[in-house]
Amino acid sequence: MTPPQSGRIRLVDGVDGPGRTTATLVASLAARLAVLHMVSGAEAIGSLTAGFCALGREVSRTAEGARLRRAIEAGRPGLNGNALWSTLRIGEWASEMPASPVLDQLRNDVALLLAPDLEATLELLPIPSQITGAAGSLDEEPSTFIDCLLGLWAFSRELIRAVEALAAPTLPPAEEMVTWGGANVSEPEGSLLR
Amino acid sequence: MRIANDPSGGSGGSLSDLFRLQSEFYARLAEETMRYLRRLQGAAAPVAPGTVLMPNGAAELRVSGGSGAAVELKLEVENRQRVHSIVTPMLSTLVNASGVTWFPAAEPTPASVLLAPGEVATVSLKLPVPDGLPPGAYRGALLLLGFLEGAINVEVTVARRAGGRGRASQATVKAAPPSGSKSARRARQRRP
Repeated sequence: MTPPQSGRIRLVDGVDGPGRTTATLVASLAARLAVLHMVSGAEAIGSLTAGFCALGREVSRTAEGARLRRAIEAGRPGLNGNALWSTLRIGEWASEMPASPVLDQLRNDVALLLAPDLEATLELLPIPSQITGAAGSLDEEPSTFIDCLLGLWAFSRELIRAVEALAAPTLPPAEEMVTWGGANVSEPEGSLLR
Repeated sequence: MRIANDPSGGSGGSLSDLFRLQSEFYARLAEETMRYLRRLQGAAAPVAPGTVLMPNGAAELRVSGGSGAAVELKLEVENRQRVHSIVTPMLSTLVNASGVTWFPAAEPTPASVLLAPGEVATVSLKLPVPDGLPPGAYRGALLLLGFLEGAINVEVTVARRAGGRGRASQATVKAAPPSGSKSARRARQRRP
């Protein structure tokens, strides 16, 4: 066996969109919340569903995602899911919606929770947000049940790991005992307390 | 104008055809209008700033090992953005030149990394090579979930084990037979 080979990559901002700074992330979150007042519930949920489907398609390209996909497709959950998806026309509905970039949004929100300059940035509001433009156009691939299921799986896993990573620096050990209000807490006394 | 109830009636038939064509036209028009509005809505949505991968140097990881052993890939990730980033490495399926597809049970350590601005972290992926995996060069990609632009090419060379035990076992590795072959036809016949 050869020794492990190491590669190196850098994470950088995209050239087309705005860079990831506290200000642009706050602007994006504020704009997302503002847009909710202008769209219907069906449009908001449909866009999220389309976003999970897009994530599911992406995760299906990995070995782990492909294994899960094959397993679910081969069993009853796959059959029943597809039956519900086509009879209730969920796929048709989700395929017509612009996909929300759910994973980017989650990661950006996590980054905001860790930003040291958040309070100063919030004082600058309102900050204008860019619009997606042509990049936000509809995905041509149809949204399927299995795409959505795998997208929810990948998103949930990322969410759990993100919350654990946020708590990790200040997480007390599992066996720790905490005494609230100091060590000398006496038992309450009184005639009514027995 | 007289409209007959009888669908076989000459003028009634052509009129109903006209109505059908018109209703189809309006249905299609409504559908396309909705589609256009959805596109407009998608284009007007607020942007979510994202991340792009930029390989530093050679964008390919090569490793070799014998079947039954384990190989390890290591990747250093540097966050050059101004806010925290999350990295979730995942390996694609690996395919060799003869069409054998390997679904590696890769274990990334750590499974996800939260990187502060300017921070560098190392992610390692341990790949147990299945016992019956045919020798050869298996190619695939190391993907970082959510970063659509860019992936790192991976090549795992599986060496033949001493003693000639390098045959594929059906339980772990399935090579897709050519579509016209006898085994492919048998496989199709067995399917319900």
